[in-house]
Amino acid sequence: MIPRSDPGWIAPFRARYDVWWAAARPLVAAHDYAAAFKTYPWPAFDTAPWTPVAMPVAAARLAVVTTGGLYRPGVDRPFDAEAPEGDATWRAIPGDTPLGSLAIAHAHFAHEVAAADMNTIFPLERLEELRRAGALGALAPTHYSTMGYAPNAADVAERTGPAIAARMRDEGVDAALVVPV
Amino acid sequence: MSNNPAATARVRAPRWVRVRFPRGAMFGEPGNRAKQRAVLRDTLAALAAIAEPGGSVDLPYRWEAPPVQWRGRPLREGSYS
Repeated sequence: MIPRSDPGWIAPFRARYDVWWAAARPLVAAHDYAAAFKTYPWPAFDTAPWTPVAMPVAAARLAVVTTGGLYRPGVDRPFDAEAPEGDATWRAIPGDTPLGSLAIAHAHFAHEVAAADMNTIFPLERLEELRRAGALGALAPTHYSTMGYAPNAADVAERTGPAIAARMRDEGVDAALVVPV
Repeated sequence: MSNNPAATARVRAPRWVRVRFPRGAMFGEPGNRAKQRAVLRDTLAALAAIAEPGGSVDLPYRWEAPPVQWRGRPLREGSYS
């Protein structure tokens, strides 16, 4: 049997999360993330979900998901970098968006590398080069950004992930490259 | 992709590659197109090669620039926060 994602962890996680957040919130407000996350109620999974690769990668259509909090200024609403409980929303970034036009809302990492070269967290230009070289079938019309700081894993699992997956299915995406930031 | 193997194994990602780059630079140094492409080629190869749920491939590439600074401290290999 092919393991699929099992939502059974979500309800107990939400209960533990609410208890954790009540204690963690003042620590987060004080920017003491190390202390806050020492007791984070990590969900426990028995199996990894799995879908076999159905085609050669050289024929596959790929989409990228970065958690770098990228958005298009003047077009997309920025992620809320100030929200104590993070931001579990997502942005759709068209594949022809110039990388230099993207802004970074994620405040919990050093931006210098990505500011110098966005391919380091959102490698669309490098992937296009590989596509032209025949290593990849196609790039999806749309790629995605979420926010790296989104501690409510249940919200990500029930809202963020399914919404992005639905969009990917509509665009015939075969595989997703998830880049954590 | 991951530079934090303990966390990635814990959440049971379907398939993943481990890189040894600092957070915010998962494909190597800015402007190093050859290395970035190499990381991506190997990642795409892993997509095809990993045959079991939760499987991973360790990529050999190393950071070859001055350490990234975060909050006044250098991020060393394996730093993910």
